[in-house]
Amino acid sequence: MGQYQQRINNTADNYYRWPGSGGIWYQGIYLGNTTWGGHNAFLRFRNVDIAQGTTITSAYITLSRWYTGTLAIKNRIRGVDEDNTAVLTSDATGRATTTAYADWNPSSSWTGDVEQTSVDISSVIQEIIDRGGWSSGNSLALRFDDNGGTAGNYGPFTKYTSAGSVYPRLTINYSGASPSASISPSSSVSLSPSSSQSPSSSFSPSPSPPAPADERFGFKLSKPGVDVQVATSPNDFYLHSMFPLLKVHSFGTFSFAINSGSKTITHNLGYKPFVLVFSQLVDYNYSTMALSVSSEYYQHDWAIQGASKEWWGRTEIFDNSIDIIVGQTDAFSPVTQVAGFYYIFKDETQ
Amino acid sequence: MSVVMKVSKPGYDVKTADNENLSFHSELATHSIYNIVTFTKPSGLTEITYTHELGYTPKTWVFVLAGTAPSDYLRRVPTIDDGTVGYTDYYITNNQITCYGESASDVTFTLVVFTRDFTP
Repeated sequence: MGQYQQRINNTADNYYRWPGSGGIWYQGIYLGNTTWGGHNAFLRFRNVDIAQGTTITSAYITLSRWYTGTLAIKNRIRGVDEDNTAVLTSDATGRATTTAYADWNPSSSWTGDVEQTSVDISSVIQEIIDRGGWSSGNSLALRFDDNGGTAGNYGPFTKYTSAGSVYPRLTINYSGASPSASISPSSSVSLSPSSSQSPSSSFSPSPSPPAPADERFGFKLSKPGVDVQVATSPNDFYLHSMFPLLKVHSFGTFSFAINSGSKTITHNLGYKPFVLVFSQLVDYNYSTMALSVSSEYYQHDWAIQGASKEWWGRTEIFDNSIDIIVGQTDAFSPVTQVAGFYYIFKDETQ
Repeated sequence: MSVVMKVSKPGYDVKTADNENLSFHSELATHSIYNIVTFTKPSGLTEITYTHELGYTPKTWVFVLAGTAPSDYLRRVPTIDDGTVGYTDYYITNNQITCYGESASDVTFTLVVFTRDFTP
């Protein structure tokens, strides 16, 4: 007899789909029924250390809201029927689900940051870990679908602001041999100056964080006058290891002759990063019939429109490069140089 | 005197280094990410709103997806109407971020929401 617990600690593992074509959202889940339809939400648990074939005696999810209120929702909980569910990087509603499911209609009265425990979902968990391809350390995902909830009753059920208790948690009780899992000390935060600045060093998704005390691991630095132990707003912290710092991948300056049309900068990240580009602005002076380049730097999405000439600049961010473009509407082709600078930032969710 | 935390660049004494030679200074604004979300404004609508419920106005960057896969690309919002994705813009309140896109088609936005508001 034993118990396994894991609380989600990675932004990519809270996922929900807004009804209709409203898109895919991460770092939190919405449950319930909007006036446009019901939500579909997914929770992914990494490195679940339960051996194949273990007998699950009970299992449940705990969820909370961070403020008090009344919200009547009804959920059908199923599993993603896969051996080792990868990060849910796109709409997962087309994925196969387990035959087993559990319907959970929690109390409509929610007290802020007080968790509610779901009905038993052991049959869902059992079906996943009984799969032929399942092995200890694989990842599993659960799907929550609105199941006839009252229209207009919907809201967020996870959030990365309050310390710990608002994150969804999976609890699995099992019989027989205990899993081999142990929490590696290396998963806890190091306060050495060289490593404490990196959130990723303190909240590695692997191995699983200790539970239920995982919210006590991490690094926080609050603003002056703010008690670091009780502060909950992200705005109260200079640093909080739960929130990754924006990281610069590369930066630099550029200059190119505008008759060449563009400047390509390669980043080779394999995804579209966040990029800021500022450049000089190209203008045409009709009094002097001369082209001019500004001394100021503008966000590189600008346009100068005139009676006969239109100049514009824009930045296009591709998976492995960015194109910094200056164009115009006629055949005028000066060799004037335009200069600027750029910053390319990593996307932590990739 | 308030307590500060500094990390200097290699080769600089953290006690005397100018801000430009610091990798981190607790009193200088850092950009910690609260959330990164991607969603699509459906055709027929001009706006779509993300509810952050932070209770203050967070610094936010917004990007918009343009072009056609596999050659699609991001642009930073706001964008001018230059025939790619049309005019786009956004505004931020204490609880929401609303993205505007004049295109009649679907428009996909990616938001980078930072933890901090516009004060140091």
